[in-house]
Amino acid sequence: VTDVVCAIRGGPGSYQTRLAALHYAADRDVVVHFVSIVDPVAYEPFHEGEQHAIRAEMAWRDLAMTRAIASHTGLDDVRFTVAVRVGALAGTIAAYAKEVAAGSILIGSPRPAADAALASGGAEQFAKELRQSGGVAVVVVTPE
Amino acid sequence: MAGLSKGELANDAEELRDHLRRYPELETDMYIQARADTLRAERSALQDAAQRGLIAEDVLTELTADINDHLAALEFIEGDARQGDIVQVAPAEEADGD
Repeated sequence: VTDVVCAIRGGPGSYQTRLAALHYAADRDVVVHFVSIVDPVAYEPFHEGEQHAIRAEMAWRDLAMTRAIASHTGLDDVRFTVAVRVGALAGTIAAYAKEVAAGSILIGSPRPAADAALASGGAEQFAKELRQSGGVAVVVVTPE
Repeated sequence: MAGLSKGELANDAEELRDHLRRYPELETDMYIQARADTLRAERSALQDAAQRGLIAEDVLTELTADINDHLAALEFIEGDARQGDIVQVAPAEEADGD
């Protein structure tokens, strides 16, 4: 059983995704590596000091939010790390999974499965792209 | 606060936790707001220290620039979070829902 990478972006669905990742890691007794992906187009116009601050503040936010969720839900014992990476979504997530030698990647879907299937199927399409980029298992978490 | 019993405080805390569970994005907003308030207070304290002659002007400039970078970072993070999650809902579907 290998560790899992959980890709997040801080949007409204990130609570459910973080929670699902903590449960996933607790059930398998593995480490969950949370990674926030920053869009380079939005990030690059900032100067070096601001870019450093963005990475630092995001890491602190992820650490604080994940600790809070773990504490609310009795998952305090789950081992996790946080990281921030800048780059295109699929390639950057896949590269990070390789960096931490994770065997699977967990991503959140913004809509419940049935709803998403009727709509764009965006999560599954993205999962397929990730599998092709990283050659690892991809788990899609859907909100309740 | 003095008029509240331990039981009432515990009840209020539990209600707040429930509320945050239902609206998790509020917790992130509260965190960002608290962090920004802390940075502003730090900047104000530095300006006060400089006015009292406790720190040199160049030190004030350097530390204030660092704080300003972090405040800009928090604004970026707030905006980035509003962009949504890793997997986006296609704009056409959102328009359908209006």
